[in-house]
Amino acid sequence: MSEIAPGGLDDPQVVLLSPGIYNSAYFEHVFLAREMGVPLVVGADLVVEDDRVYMRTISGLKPVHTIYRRLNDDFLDPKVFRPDSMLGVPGLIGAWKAGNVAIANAVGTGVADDKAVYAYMPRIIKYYLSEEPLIHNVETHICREAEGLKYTLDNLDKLVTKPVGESGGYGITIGPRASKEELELARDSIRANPENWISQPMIGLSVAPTLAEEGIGPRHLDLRPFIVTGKESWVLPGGLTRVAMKRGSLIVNSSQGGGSKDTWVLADNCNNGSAA
Amino acid sequence: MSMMRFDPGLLARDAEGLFWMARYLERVENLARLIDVTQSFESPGFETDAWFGLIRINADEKNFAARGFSPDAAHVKRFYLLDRGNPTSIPSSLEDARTNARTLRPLMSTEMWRQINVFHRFAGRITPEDMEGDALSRLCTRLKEGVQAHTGITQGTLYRDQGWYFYELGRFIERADQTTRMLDIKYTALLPRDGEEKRVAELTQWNAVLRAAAGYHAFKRYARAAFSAEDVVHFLLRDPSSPRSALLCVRRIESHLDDLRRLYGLSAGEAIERAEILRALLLEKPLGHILATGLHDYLDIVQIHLQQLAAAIGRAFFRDWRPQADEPAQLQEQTQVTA
Repeated sequence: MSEIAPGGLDDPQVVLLSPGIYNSAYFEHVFLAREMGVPLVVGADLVVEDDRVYMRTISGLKPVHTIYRRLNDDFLDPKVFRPDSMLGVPGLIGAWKAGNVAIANAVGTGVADDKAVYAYMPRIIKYYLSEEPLIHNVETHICREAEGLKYTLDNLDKLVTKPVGESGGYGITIGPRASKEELELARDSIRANPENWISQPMIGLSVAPTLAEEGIGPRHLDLRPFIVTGKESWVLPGGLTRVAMKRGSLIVNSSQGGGSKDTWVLADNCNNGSAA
Repeated sequence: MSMMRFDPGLLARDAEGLFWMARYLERVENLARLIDVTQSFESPGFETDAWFGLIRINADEKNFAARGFSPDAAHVKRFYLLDRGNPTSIPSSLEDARTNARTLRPLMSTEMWRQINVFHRFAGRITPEDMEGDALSRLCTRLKEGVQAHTGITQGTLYRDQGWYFYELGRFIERADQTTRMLDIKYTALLPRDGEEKRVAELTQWNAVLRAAAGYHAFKRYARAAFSAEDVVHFLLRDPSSPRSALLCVRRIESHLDDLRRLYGLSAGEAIERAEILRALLLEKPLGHILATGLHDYLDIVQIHLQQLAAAIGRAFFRDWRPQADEPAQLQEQTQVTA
């Protein structure tokens, strides 16, 4: 975060910009801010003057140089994006354009979150790096391509269909678990707008013992690893384990009531001097 | 050379959050004390008068009626112990304290956060049975102890930077205010008309007020054997060592404001001035004179001064801290302004 601050600063002020306590990921924002040792701010704490960003402290305005934002693009600046955003900072994009503040992730990076981009990753790697991907994708069928669309429609009851522009587990149909009506609904949506859809086989997510209302029971989970890219890239020795709190559910997203678990990385002391 | 990187500053919003978290929790402890002492003021056939007195000293008459309650002992208890729709109830104050605590999580210890959550859950499970007879006193004890555990954990774990001073300022302003209300409860209490009976009843009531303020034993050590009302009022308003006395609270406030100026260069001239005026108000007139002309009115004036002091702190640090601020936002006096 310090590396990307506007030039010439020994000790740039980094902040984490959160939508606040009512966001489902607020706990994570607190955790990250604490581990990074940076102030956790909300939009109302920041103010832009002459294209420079400041935070309101008890001793007045303090300059801010890098913003790690956990706020979606459209809420960032009511002057540029959604005018009804109460969570953003008026003038923030102006300050960013003027080069006076760095925003991470950069505005527009949300496009990489699009599931259609995921589907093309193996081809992107090949095209730009002439390499094979080291970790393979989940087999993904792209409905904007005739072949993928046909395969998807022919096998709807075996596939998971996902809208490309959504996140948080919304709009997903899990074929093997869907009713006839749900499958027909998914079929209609895909036919109406094939570009908006991809499909994947249902992944047999692993389970772990989880404390639930009725006691300890199995719940599905997945692992999100994190890779930080600055001047160099490195993989964090840990990750986010997300867990579906509903019995049998494969939707682990926190915005749909999913929880998180500790992630343990077991280090081999013989080969590795430092434990994670 | 210091090993610390730099002073990260304190967000105005976080300073305000600390101030209010402390106030809400202090309010819970004192309301539990007031409820406890009100129960001991109950005399058979006159329960309603005793309990409605609680509504009056908290200036909650309008709010009480608006919530659909009528002057009745059981209604007053429900209003303060169960009614989440009443912003001055104990469950509401704890809800507000916890909401502030959530915004302050990066600044507070895990131990503080955990205790507030456990306490918040406890207060959310108060039942009508907990408000009957002896159970009520036990409930008040649990509520007091909940805040005392919070205070102790905070003393032992909260990092002592600027934030700590705002937490303390909130706590002492609220405590001073609540002590004046505790004294005021005597004003609404019923007394037999005259003679020996009246004298005894009055002494019993003053003893109850002292016990509510946890000051009974200390008072006994320092007061004359045949004490008067004036002695009790002195102890709760002017005693420099009684931890709940208004004077001690105001002196702590002055010293914290002074530390903020000295250690962090944060000046709040208006707030310091207001604290000085308040200290003078507490000390200047002979108590005999105050008692003769009306303690209740005097306590009202003290409460107004405390509100003005809180507003001045708000103007200095939370809202209009920028010298060039053109539109002074109104700081509400008794409850927090939420953005």
